[in-house]
Order: sequence, then structure tokens, then C-alpha cells
Amino acid sequence: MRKSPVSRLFALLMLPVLLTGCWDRVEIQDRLFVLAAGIDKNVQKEQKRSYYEFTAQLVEPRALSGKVSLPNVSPVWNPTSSGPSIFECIRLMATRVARQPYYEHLQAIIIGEELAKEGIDRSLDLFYRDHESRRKIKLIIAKGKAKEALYVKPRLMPLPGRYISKLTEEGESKTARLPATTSIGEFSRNFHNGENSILPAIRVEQNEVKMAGGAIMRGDRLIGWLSDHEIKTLRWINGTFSKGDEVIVKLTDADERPSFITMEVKGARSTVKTSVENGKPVITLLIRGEGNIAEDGFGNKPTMEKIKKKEEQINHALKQRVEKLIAMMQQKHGIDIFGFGEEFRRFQYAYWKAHKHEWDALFKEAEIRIDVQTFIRRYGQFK
Amino acid sequence: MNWEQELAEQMSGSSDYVQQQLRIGENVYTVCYLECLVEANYIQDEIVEKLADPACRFPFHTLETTPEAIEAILYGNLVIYSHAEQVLYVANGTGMETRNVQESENESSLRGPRDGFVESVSTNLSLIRRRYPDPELKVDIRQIGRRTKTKVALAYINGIVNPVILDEVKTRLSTMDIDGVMDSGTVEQWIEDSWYSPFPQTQYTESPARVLHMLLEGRIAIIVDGSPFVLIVPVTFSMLFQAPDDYYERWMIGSAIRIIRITGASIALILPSLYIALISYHPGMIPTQLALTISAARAEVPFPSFLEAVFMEATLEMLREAGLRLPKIMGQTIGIVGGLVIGQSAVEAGIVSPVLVIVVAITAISSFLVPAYNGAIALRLLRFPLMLLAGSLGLFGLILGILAILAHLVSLKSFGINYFSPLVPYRPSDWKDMFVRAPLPYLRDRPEILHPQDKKRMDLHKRKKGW
Repeated sequence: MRKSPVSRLFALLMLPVLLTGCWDRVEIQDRLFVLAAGIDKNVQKEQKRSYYEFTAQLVEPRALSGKVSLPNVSPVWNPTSSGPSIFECIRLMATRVARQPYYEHLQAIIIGEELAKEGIDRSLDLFYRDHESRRKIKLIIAKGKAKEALYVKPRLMPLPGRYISKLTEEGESKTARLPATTSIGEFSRNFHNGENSILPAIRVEQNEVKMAGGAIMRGDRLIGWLSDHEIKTLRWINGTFSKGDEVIVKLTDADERPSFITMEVKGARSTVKTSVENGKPVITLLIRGEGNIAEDGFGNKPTMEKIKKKEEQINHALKQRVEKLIAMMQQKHGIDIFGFGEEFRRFQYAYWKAHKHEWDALFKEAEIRIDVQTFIRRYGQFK
Repeated sequence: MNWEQELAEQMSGSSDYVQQQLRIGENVYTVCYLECLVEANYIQDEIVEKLADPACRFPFHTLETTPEAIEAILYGNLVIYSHAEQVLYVANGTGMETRNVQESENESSLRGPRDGFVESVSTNLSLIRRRYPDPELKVDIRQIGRRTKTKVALAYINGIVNPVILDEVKTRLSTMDIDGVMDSGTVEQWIEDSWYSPFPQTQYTESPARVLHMLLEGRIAIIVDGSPFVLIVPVTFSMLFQAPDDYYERWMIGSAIRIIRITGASIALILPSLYIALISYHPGMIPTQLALTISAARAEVPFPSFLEAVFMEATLEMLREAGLRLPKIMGQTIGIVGGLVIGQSAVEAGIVSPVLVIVVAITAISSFLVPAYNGAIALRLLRFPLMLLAGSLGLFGLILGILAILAHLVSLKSFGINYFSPLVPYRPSDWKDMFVRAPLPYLRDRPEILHPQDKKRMDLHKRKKGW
């Protein structure tokens, strides 16, 4: 055989391929998918070293597909381990499960209330850094213990982890009753920029998990809860309102019976204008929304005037709610969860630079002017 | 030396050589021919009658030298010596036995001319000439083969073809010095640019209409006696995905089918290696639900996905090769053995996973989508090194492999034309006939990459919009 330099070079280049010896190769069936993880604070005092209680939801796909019908093999297993760091918890778990846990399909991280009150950033550190976990993993705060959410037996889906993850997705996009920021990537960005976040909250019931509004995070610490109606108002303010939610205005009809106008929202936008007056921040908030009449308690034939009147009633009701939520945040919690600080950083940089460390205090004093405009686009057919 | 003795001496040892004297009236003729190439009836009916007719002068042409006479005899002609005139004549024989012009089996088309080339260069040329009755169609016939002296015809259209390419083809053909030319494949392998490339640098076709289409684009056809496959040069990579039907059928259909073919070729090339890479290295890239399904399906499989895939792909290639050589009646057996025994039983036995069977089936179907068989087989073979790379380095290896293939394609040339053009080098005006086949008026210009002498193919200004 003629030995040209090219063929020698080629042989030389092929050798390293053999050297790798299928480096990092783990067949899919040898991986143990972790679908959800719950992190709680360890409350057992006698174990001094341990701080976290880490529960992973492991899935056995064979049992899911019905190929294995042994009574002792179940599709889901939630082993718990505890230790001073999440990484140690994960390695401790490897001493109990026979396969390699695999975190690339991790759907949700649920954090218990106790731990969330002390701060969640340290416990998420591993998930930010590790290459196996994605930034899209949903971050959820559980009322009570996170572990319990993993033990729920959902009626329609075999895997609790997927159920919880789907639930937050649906809640976020279809009903606006959960906050818009739901992933650890978004939380990490907010936290490391020094902002506050609202994370989705869930409550565990017997056979289901319920979306329960939002958890107010001051930095990475849980300081309070928002109800799902308050979350809706928050999303009006942020302009992240997605399709399909409703605004209900309560009125009284001619016979003194209560009657409701319900608007199905099709989209909303908000504009924040910032200014500084007398050394105080002033925020002008303009909210615009549009939607259809879903239900009308009066059942009248719509005329232009009536539609205009309804729009005004809706505007008024919305404005009241927005004012109430902002007042609550200013007075009760005293933190800015609306991202107004970011608007100041963008448009009033000099002011922001001078006052960024006392922003939450300034926010308490800020004057907020609110204008709400909604438009009814369709009223439907009702004959 | 007496020419009769000389001929007899040269042809000695060939029992089918006949040299006989005919006495017609008072004239004596010696007729020499090869028995196997000239029918006895023909001599009786045509030659003897013509020679007997005193009014008929010889319609035959004369010969000067003995080698000429031998060559004429060997090509199936009769050499007649008139003793009275002392002149050597040659009379055309009936020609050799050839197959009738019939529909090509390998290159069937739904719509379009159905005649296909046969093994005779003159018949093949007649099929082309009949479609292009114009003196500008030039045919340059030469003999190649040190011993076989096979006729090789070079056909091109003067006024369209780029003379630089034509000269290159002629030069390469003139360097051919080989004992025998069995098929156009021999010529192809001599004149191609790179012997080490898996990709074909010429195209072959059995359809005269396709040859004409290529000639009109400014390409050159090489017709080899004894081969029904006419070579077309130069070619580009995108021609692997072109079939004659694309041009005969309306443009939308042609374009849609061409996109399907290109998709199919990509699938045939990378799907098994993508499967290996994802299963063994990157299950995170599979959607969760699918990952769980695959994991469950593979739970009992004892082999790594690489071995599993190589095993099944190799089986597929074996089945295909076995089916190719078998008589048609036996074809069913292959189907049953391949489909049932290997497909179903391998899954039931837990040797391969059902997902892989789907992958292999899709790969097989996809690889049949490429109309050029030699191109399809190149893609099929390249699949195996890609699988090795994916099995050892994962997606990284797969990407490396694809890059290596692309680098090779970009540097490959076919008779001075870049193989990967019009993509590289970038000639967007030729893209009208690449991924899609644009409507006819858009194909006004001949391919720019060939630099034809006459650039315009049609004149559109008589055609009205909206008639």
C-alpha cells in the first residue's frame, strides 16, 4: 500500500477516536430520570450535620409502559436523603438507587415553606451551576412541606412531577393565576440583579396539588403570599397578562339582585413612565387591555353607549384592584415586586444610581398614577 | 504479399472466419466475413443479388489496406474482393444483434418519454439525433481500449457547450489506455476527478430525453458502445436529487417531490447516528415523554445502541443486496425473512428495540428516495462512519463527521466545475433549479456555473401574462 502523508495523518487522526472508548456513554435505559425534586429544611435536630432534606422523584419507565407487572416495582419512587449540601444529598441517594440519577429531564424544583423563609438561593446553587440541569426548570414554593407534593397521587397522570409541571404551565399561560416568572433561570437572573421575585405557590391537598397564587420573595426569602386574584392584578400591572382570563364587575340590577359582568381578556399591555418630582419617584402606569364579553348579568341588547359604559365599569373595577395591590405592597411588605426599579434604572439612571440601595424605602413613598383603559371587542351572539 | 493469404493468416484460429469464392456470371469475387456477425440470408439476398445485377454498380466503398479490411470484418462487415477489378470493397453487414429499444427498468418515470438506451452506440446515437435534428449536435466518435477498441461517442451541442469543459473531457478521454472497456463505468472511473471520493462525479442515465435535457444545459454526454448507460459530465451534487419527472410535471409537484428527496437523503445519512448519539449520550435532548418511552422500550436490550444500530443497518444492507441479485420470484422470500423474521423476531427476542426498527425502516425508505443510485449508495455507505463517530463521541462526533463530508463536497470538482455549486461557490441565480424546480419561465437561463456560450434558454416577451 502506498503510504502518503495524507493517509498517515488520517490514521493518526482516527486513533484518538478509539482512545475515547465511548467516553461518557450511558445508555438511556441505564439512566434514572429525575422528574421533580423537593427541597425542605431538615427539622430533625439530632442530626447536626444535615441541613437540607432532598427528595427526588425517580421514574421507572418500564413500569409506566406496563412491561413490568411485579407488585414491588412501581413507576415512581421518592427517596429522601439529608445532608449539609444538595450535592451530598444527591450522592447519598446514589448509595440507595442502583442507577445513575439523571437531571436533564428535571421538570420542577419544589421548595418547602420553612426553607424558603430562610432563603432559597444556596439550595439552588447546584442547579444553576450543573450542566445537567436546565434553566427552564420550574421553581415552585410549596405551602407546607415540598416533599408532600411529590407524594400526591394525581388522578389523571401517572407521574406527580409531570402533573405539577403541567399544572404550573397551564396556570401560567391559560389563567394568569400564577406569576409569569416560573423558572430557576429567571429567578436566578432576578435575584442576582438584586430584584425581588414572585414565584408560583402550590398547596398540597389529598390527591391533588392546587395552584395557590404566588410567593413574595424578598431577594431569595419568602416574606408572604399573594392570592391568585392578587397575582392576576400583578400581571395586569406587568402587562404579562395572557389570554383567557376574566375581569368580573359586580353590580346591582334594578331589582337589587347582584349581577356580574365578566370580560374574557384577550391581551393586555402596560406602560410605565417614570419621573422624579421633588426628589421623589413618580410612576405613571398605563394599562391597556382588550377582550370579549363572556357573560353579562343584564342580558341587554348591546348598544354603543352600553358597551362604553361597561368598559368604564371594568376600568374602574380594575383600577381599584391595582391601587389596592400597590398600596398593600407599599405599606405591608414594603418591597417593589413590579419591576419599577428596573424602569428607573433604564430611564432615570442618575437618580437610580444615587438611590439604588434605598430603593425599597423610596418605593414606599412613591407616588403612583394609574390609568386603565379596556376595550370590549366582541359581545357575542345571544339570540 | 497476397492480401487473401494475409487476411487468412491474421484470422487464423478463428473458426467463424469465412473466406469463400463466389462465381457470379463471369466475375469472381472473394467474400470474407465472420459467420457469427453476418447472417447467411443476408449474403444470399442482398450481396449476391447486387453483385449479379449488371446495372448495379457497387454501392460499397473501397478499402486500401489490410488492417482496414480486418477491422471492417471484425465490426461485422463483409469484405469483397473483385478479381476482375482487383479492388477491395466493404459492404455493411446487418449489424450485430442488439436488444430492442424498450422502457428502462432502472430509471422508470411516471410521466415522460419511456424509451431507453440499448447496448449499441449507433442505436443510442439515433435516439438522441432523432430528438435533435440539427447539425449543431456534434458527435465525436473515437475508439478506446487497447484491445477491445470500443467505440466511445462524445455528444455535445456546439454553441452551447463551454469549450473549456469540452477540451478537458476530450483530453481526459484521450489519455485512456486500457485493454478493455466493458461499460461506461470503466470510462467513468478513468476520467473522474477523485478516485477516493464516495460521491459520483458523473451521472449516468438510460433516458435519451434526459440526455437531451443535459445537452441543452451545456453538458456533455459520453456514449459507450455496449453500455445502455450514457454518462453525463460535468455534474453537481444537487443533480443527485433531480429526476426527469421534475421537469415534465408542473413545477409545484416537481418542487415538492424534490424537497422530499432532499429531506429523505438527509434522513438516510444521519438518522441512525442521531439515534445513537441521543440514546447513548444526550437523552436530555429527547422530549421527556419520548425519552421515557424509549427508555422503557430499551430496558431489555443488552447491547449499546451503537452495536444495536450497526447490527440492524448491516442486516438491512445485506437484505437489499440479496434482493438485488435474486430472481424476482424469490423476492417474496426476502421480504418475509427480512420483515418478519428479522424485524419482528429481533424485537420479540429483545435483541433490538422497536424504536430502532422504526429508525432503520425510515432510513431504508429514505435512502430509496434519491433517484441517482450511485449517489444513494454513497450516502448509505457514509452512514456507517457517521454511526461510528456518533457511537464514540456522541453528537460532537456526528457534527465532526458531517463537517468532514461537507468539507470534502466543497473541495470536490467535476471537470473543473465545483461539485457543491451553486451553494459553494455561491451562485444564487442557479438556485431556481436546486432545492425546488422553479416555474418554467424562471428557468430562462442555462446554469451559470457551466458558463455556456449561449446563456438564454427562452425568450419570454411573446408570452403574455394572464391569457
